Amino acid sequence: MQVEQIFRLTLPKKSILALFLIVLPFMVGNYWSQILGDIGIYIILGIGLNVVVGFAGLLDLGYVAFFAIGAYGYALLASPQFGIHIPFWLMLPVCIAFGAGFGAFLGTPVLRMRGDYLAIVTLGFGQIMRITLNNLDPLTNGPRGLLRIDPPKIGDWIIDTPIKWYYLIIAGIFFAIFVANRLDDSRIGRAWIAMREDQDTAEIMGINVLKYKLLAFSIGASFAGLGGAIFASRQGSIFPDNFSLMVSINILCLIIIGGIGSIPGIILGSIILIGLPEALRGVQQYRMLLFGGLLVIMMIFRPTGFIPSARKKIEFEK
Amino acid sequence: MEYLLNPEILIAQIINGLTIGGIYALIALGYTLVYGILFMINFAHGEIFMFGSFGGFAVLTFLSNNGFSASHPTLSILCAFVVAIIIASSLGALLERVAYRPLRDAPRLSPLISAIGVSIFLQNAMMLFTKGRMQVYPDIIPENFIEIGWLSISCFQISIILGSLLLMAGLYAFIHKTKTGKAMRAVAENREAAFLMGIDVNRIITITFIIGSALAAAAGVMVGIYYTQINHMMGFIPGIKAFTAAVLGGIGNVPGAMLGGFFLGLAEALGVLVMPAQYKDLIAFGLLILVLIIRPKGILGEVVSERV
Amino acid sequence: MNQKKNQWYCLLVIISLFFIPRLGYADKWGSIIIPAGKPIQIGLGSMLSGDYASMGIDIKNGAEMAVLEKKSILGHPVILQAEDDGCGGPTSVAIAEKMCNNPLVVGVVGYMCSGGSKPASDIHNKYKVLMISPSSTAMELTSRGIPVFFRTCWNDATQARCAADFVIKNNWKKIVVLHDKSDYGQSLAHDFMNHISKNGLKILATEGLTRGDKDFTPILTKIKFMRPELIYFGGMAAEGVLLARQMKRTGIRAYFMSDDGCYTVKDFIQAGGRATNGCYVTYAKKPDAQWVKRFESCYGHCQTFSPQAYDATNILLEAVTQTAKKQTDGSLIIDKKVLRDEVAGIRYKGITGEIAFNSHGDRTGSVVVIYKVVEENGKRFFKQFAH
Repeated sequence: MQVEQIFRLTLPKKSILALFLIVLPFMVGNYWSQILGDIGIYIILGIGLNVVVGFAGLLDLGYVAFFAIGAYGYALLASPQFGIHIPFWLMLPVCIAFGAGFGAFLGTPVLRMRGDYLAIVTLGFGQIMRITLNNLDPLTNGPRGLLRIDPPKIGDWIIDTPIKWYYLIIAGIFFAIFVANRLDDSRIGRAWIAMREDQDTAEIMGINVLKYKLLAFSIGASFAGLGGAIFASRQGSIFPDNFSLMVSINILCLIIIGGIGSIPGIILGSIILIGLPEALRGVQQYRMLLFGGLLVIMMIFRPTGFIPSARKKIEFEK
Repeated sequence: MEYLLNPEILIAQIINGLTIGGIYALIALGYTLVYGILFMINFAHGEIFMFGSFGGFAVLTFLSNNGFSASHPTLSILCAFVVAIIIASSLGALLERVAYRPLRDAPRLSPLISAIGVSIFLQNAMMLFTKGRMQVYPDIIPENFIEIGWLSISCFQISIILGSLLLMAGLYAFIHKTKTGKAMRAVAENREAAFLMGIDVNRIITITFIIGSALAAAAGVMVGIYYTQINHMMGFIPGIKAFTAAVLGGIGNVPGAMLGGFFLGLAEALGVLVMPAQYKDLIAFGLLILVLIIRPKGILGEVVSERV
Repeated sequence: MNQKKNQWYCLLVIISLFFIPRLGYADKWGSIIIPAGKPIQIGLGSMLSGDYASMGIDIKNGAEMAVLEKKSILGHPVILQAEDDGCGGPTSVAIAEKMCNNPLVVGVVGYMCSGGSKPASDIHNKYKVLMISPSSTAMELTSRGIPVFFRTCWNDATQARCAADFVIKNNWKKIVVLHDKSDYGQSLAHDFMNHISKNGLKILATEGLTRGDKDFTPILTKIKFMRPELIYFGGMAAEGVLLARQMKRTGIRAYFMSDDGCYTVKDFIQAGGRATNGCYVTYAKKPDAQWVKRFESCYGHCQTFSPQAYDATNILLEAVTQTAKKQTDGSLIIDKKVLRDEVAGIRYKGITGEIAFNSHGDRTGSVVVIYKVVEENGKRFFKQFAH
């Protein structure tokens, strides 16, 4: 298991890490807590895309579509748009389900396709989602966006500051990591590994490859549903332009650069991709240039990423 | 719906469709040639198209600034094409060497991701160079119109349609009548056997990239002259649509790419008559998904090497 | 082992409980304190890199000019804190948090795009930090009762009404409306259509374009056969100039009218060539010519919103000058509510005209006029055509 290997945390180390995480937002203030929240959402999305790309080996370039489903799903049912105000905590599992359902829906027709076709078709799906959201004005308000989205509430206590959101997102990340690890170590996870290594042999061994591909797509999408709900609730307003191809590419970049299949890699990738540009605002415009180049370089020289998962290392070294 | 019954609108739209279709076809050829040989979607092909267009822009602006183009308009345009082709071909060959060749034996996802990286890199390089601003092709030759009743056909449109057909015919002849073309077909059919027969596979692959990029560059200059506005993002959506066209016609299949390109262009132009124009892009994406689900081999069938 | 584990966890929980009281908000309005020797910061949020960077940098220059001219207030230097807001999305939200949490920022000139101003205004409302936008024209910004939002530009309804009135006056009856499916373009197009319809005129068709697309000949061919007298376009110059060109190409003989997105010499008049002659564009009254000369000598060509940014910055500076109080230890104290009320009630003679705000934050007496692209003496430029 990846996490245990890299961290190999003993209890004192775990406690220090926990203490650090709890105290961090107060050390850095509201603005950086906001950035940490952004990083956190991308970590959740990265873990989800990792299920699709890293665990099952399917290159999904339209992952943002599921993010959008989660966000719009929440926003439509928790804002003045239709006057429906379902509480955040109830909507969380609903949005996760939206993501999973939509993942299954989109996955079914495309899973027989070859890898590169799959990439382009999913890219198409992502674009279709954004165009549709932008044009279905009566439902989504089109380019004007949905405003005044409800924040999470516990009784009278509202989560509406960057620091409070930080804790919620950290909780979300732990939940995502927990689920991802359980998956990796389960029958499903092992089937994915077999599928990734040699699809034909896996079929012969009795693994219904299509079913497991669909599961990967669907489960991966559910993480994005979760991320979307958090995103919509936190930002308070969402627009179709928030769900462009750039988001899919960002998430892909961060898991590739950080390390496919490894959770610490995803965390590092997110910090590099999302946090660093904020710290280096002066060189913001060179950011994507650098990441494009990094993708190429990493694929050639270090395809397993900065912090590879042990299993992936073995796969690539074969 | 009544639009479809009006012959003047129909003819006008068909010409519009064939014009943009010719552009799609030229770009699609690059995708299809590379895929037939390497099994790889050259994600950065749209950016090569963009660089070609900027190459032509640089030449024409330079010539227009020192008055050369005023006295020699046709020669200037020819120069633009030649320089654009040189730039794009060099870029294509360079990309193949640097970003794709090292990954030829890597798992399938690796060259694809590398291609995405190249695409992002090139887009942003041009963005930094032009500071993100639109650039405008100078007016070199006047646009003449042929007016027939209500119909108004631009001679630019005719030039693009004829030009792209000529280039495609040239490519077809090259592939089927020359030795190099034969070698290209051999490598596309079975890379190892071709190698054993003494064909320099690396050279052929480089030539494939060069040809594909040259066609894209020609399309780029045509787009620059016709639409006049170019910017660093201009290759992205046309790239995806051209890939759709290649798949529509049958990936790896040269006549297929041409057919697919024109088909897509017509579908878009005629589609606008029956649906709101804001959904125009959905036509391409929708067709892509439909083709891949219903008839993945495309209209004319795939021409790809055997999967050993 | 288990005991030790439990002890650690208890300790952690106890320590974390310490922080909970801090999680609430500080007193909402409160005051800004600028310690002695520290500068007063005016925040600025606009797009400094990417698609609309030239407009964003122009806005920054307008604000910068005002700050450089003012130099200092009550002994404290004034500086501009410019940030790239990426025209919306999480970046705008992050920048808003950054500005509002900066104790030296007295107010923000921003944000550039309506899509960025919308979420940012919610954040400014949380922290009660002033926000004066030079270019965000969406109606929602002033319809939600946010006391800290103001704008020195017009709003969509005003601009659309101006265009509609002109159309009605000219008795153009067959009108096609196009827009670029953006927040800005679509809102304008809809407001325009509402005004036109209210006066009994019919719109032949409404279509949305795709931003970034270059080929509008299919849709223009479709429109040509409706034989319109006017095509109204809500959107930016990138598409507007292509429409103007391709209208001529498809042989449509109609007037073309657009909004301030096409009020740009480089991207519309120059990029479009002769095809843009005779096109109408709406925009505010031209700013003071002397100011334009001064601006252009430092920053190059003046674009759409730098005058509004200049005025917005000066309003902030003026309000701070009026309400800041020097304390005995050399620091400045500015009561946020008093500052806000000062801006709300201000009567300022700016280079874009007289500025005052209504109770919603909109600029009162905002004047938008019609311009026409004309060619005189070999030069092509925007000439004010009608009020």
